[in-house]
Amino acid sequence: MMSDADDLAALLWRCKDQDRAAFAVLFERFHLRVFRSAWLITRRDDAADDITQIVFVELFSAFRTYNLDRPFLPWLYRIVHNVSMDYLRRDGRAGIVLPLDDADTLLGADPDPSPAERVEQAELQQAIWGAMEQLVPYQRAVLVLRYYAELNEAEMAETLQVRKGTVKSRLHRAQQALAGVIRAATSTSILPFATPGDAAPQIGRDAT
Amino acid sequence: MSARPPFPPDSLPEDVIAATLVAQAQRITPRADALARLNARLDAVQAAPPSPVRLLPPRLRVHWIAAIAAAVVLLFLATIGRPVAAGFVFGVQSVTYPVVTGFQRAVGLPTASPPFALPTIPTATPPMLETPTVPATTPATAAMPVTASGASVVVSTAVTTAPTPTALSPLVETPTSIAATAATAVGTPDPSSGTPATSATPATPALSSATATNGAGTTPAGGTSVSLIPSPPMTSPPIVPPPTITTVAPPVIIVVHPEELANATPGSTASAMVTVTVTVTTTNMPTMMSATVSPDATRTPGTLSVPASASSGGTPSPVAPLSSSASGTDTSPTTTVVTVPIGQGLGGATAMPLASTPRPTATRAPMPAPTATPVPTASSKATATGAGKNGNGNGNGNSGNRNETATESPDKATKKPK
Repeated sequence: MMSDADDLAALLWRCKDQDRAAFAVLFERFHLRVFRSAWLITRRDDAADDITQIVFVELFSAFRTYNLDRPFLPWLYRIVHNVSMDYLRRDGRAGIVLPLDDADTLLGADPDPSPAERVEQAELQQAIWGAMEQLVPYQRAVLVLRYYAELNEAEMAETLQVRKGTVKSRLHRAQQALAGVIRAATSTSILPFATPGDAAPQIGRDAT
Repeated sequence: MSARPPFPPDSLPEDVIAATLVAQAQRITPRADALARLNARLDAVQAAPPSPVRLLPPRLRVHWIAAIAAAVVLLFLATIGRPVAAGFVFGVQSVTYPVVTGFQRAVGLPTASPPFALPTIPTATPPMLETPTVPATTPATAAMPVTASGASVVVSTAVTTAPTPTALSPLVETPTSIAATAATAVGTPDPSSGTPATSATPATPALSSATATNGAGTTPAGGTSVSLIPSPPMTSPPIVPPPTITTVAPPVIIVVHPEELANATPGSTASAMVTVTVTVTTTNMPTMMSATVSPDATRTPGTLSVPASASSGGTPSPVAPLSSSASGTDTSPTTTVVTVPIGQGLGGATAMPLASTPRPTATRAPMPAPTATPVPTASSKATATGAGKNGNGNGNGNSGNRNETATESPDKATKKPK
């Protein structure tokens, strides 16, 4: 019985041979992850949809030169990151922050929290989600790669084409910036929710 | 609600961040037709011809483009850009050199030689000429009549200088002749006698001397002589006369046998294949020269006239030569048609047909070199062979003049002398 890794390897082999049927299977397998990562970075549905299409078109062409010995996910997220950054550079409209109106949809760290803990966690997540809007895109991308795509530092270094030390630095600065936004918001008792069209000040531009 | 986040402000729990992102991401879903739109895009991409640059890996693209740019720059510098680059360097150095040397002089540093080459003007050393010597010539001692008291006699002596330079620089002035002023002999009458002297003997003949010096002020105007060394005579290339082409065409004899003409019908024609051998001889043909002997394009049929006195067994003479042409390789047969009119049978006369007289023309290639060595002769032969045809006719052989028409087929040939 083939494992998921073997199955993926065979699928990648076929994709490298420009097999459209295999590529369709690959799309079905990874497009949701790509779409949501792009959405978390851009905060826009249309942008995430466009980015997903562009990513898979470039992926299909890039399979000609893809080295199958290299891990696939960092390579895929590298394309996602680059396309998202290019997209935002060309069209840097502010994203829409969806309010977290349903605490039940939030996933807490504690699988069985008490009602008070659930409320606290929901508020915290609201604060985090609102604060991410005020980060610069590449800081949001770092957080998405680390906490949504669940890449480790080595894979992030592979994805961002930087050294591991740089990954640590960027990740730390992104966290600091996020905490700073939340801290500023809580000090004024205003949660950092942005509304459509707001030109929220962005911080953390000096990150390496 | 005025709830405040209970976390420390300088640290965020990573699991909460991850949970936030996952929870947010799960709230959205892509469009259902994503795969269909992707396939449409891929179809469009695959339909477009791939760029050769895009087929290369991105890193190789950079190297490839850099290599092309370097090749273009090198090609530019190697061809038209070389003088431009040299001029640019020269211009930069011309500007920077005075500045640098001025600074060096100001601070007391030794200045370097100019980095760019200054033009050098060759200086010619004038030839050393010997000082012309003035031969000691005896001044004229002829008694000069004294016409008046106190008159002076001026004796002029021409002085020639030797040696005379054969080749002089135009800047060197050499006197060719120096006018020497003779001493003046003065005869003084004796005033005490009261008688004027009727004659006076010149004093000691004046000794004239002169020193010729190059460039001295005594050089008369126009005294500079410049001799030019004649250059060796130019040898003109030998004139090669045009080649002479001599053609020899032997006469062709057509014999009409009486028995063949006995049954000839009036108006019939007889034709004969005539063998024509043409010898083309060219002389004075340079080796580098190619000659083409081309015959006339057409041959004009000649007319054979049989004299009235031709009788059986007689031999008429051709009166009109055929105009024909031939060449060195002409082996095509020539057909002569003899027309026998009614009642004028040859009666067994032997007709001498006209001989083909080829008129080759020679075209000559351009003269390649003046040292061409003429080749004496070149010869060729053309041979045309054919079989005679008997014509049908009826006539007796005592008639007078007979007109015979001979036609020959034109032929062409080309001959190149070896």
